[in-house]
Amino acid sequence: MASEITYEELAVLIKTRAGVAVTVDELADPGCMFLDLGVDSLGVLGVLADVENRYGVSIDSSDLLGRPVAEFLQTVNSSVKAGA
Amino acid sequence: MNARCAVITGVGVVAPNGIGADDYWKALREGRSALGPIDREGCEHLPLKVAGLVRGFDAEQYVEPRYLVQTDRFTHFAMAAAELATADADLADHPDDPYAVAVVTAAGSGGGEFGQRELQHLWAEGPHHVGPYQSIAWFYAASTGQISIRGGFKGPCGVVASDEAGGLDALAHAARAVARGTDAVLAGAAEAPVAPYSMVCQLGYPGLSTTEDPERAYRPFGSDAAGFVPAEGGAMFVVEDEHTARLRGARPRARIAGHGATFTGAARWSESRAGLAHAVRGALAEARCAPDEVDVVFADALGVPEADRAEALALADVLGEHVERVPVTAPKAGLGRAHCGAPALDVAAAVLALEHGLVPPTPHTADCPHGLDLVTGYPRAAELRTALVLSRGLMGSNSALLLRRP
Repeated sequence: MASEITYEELAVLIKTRAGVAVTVDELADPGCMFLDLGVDSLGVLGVLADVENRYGVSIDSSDLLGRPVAEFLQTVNSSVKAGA
Repeated sequence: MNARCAVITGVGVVAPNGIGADDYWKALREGRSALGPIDREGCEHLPLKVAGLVRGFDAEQYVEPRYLVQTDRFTHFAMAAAELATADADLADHPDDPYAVAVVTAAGSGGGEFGQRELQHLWAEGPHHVGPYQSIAWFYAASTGQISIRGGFKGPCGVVASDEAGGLDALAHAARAVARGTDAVLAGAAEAPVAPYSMVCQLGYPGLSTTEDPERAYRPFGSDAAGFVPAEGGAMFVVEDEHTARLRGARPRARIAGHGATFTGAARWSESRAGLAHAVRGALAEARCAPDEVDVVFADALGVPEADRAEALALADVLGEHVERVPVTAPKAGLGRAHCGAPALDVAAAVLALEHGLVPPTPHTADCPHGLDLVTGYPRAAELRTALVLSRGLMGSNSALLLRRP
């Protein structure tokens, strides 16, 4: 199993869990926020739960909500790597 | 200062016999029935066989996917109906004054399909596999909340949980909000109770018809009435202050002239006679309407003989001799009962009937041994100025709403 989530995979997760279609370019923009994309905090939690279930890791969400997408992905990926 | 007067300026319908007011009215006028076998997965083995299902509904045609992911089918219906109603009224989303527009819906069944799916995740895979949107999607308030969020409507929003009759009470609530100063209210109800879990919840209703023949399953007021069948769908309306509506160039389609509501207890149909009569008197009094000014009645028409008799007697109690002359109809005989959505659909039918001067017929029912002039077979042309819409809930609420042509 890949030990890193790519922007492509994140885009698919956001579409499935939060119903929002986003491009990789939008996500990769360093200032991109979930709320700007139309993804609310419950949507972010859904994405996070999906990652946790898939990789069998536990990620503390309290610091992640309200962070830019790039930071979110960085933190998630370090948890995934540490857990893998 | 002139009293503010609530008018309906937009009608949005999602019904088993048509999506959009035009298709709905065409089907009603023709007395076309939409009742059919329940062919949904997981429902085949249940003793309830017939319902009015909304087919060919593409939610994405009306609502963005991000709202659809978060919500149950009942909210998809409500949001689509709200979208159709605001388009009809030409009412813009994200108004300059967000507090001038509110949302009020009624719901009785909630998000059964969504809830069942997530609970299945719970027991099959564990709590971590329940999606976060379960927290809002099953809830009765979901439709009000999502319509409000999507449109940016921050006026005095509300949810009416008063049984099926709540579909009428929501409109009365909207009219009161308008009287108190809100410019516009999106109001109505929609339900989606035809999924395995929701259906099992209904199996205990003594009035439920388990007849397998869609032609015979729901014949309200008929001598062969055998109960009712459920339906999905509903209607949403734009309710506005008449003066404000005219100023912005909107067309008032009907006035909400009066409302009354009572409670007489679950399944005590003979007692609903007095309760329903009292509700009608309240609606007439508020509208300053004499009983013989009522030009058409859209009946609750439960299809349970004792309840049908009580409704006919309630009408006779209030209308006196006029009851022999006033046309009574129950278009829902061709749709089924969409719980809170049912009276909302009746209000849509009443608005359209007032506009067209035509009483749509009651499908399926052939005779009426209750002394009412029940319109069956064909629509009836009539000069219609005032329509009375009645609704009763299985848990005992009774409500009456009086509409007038503007």
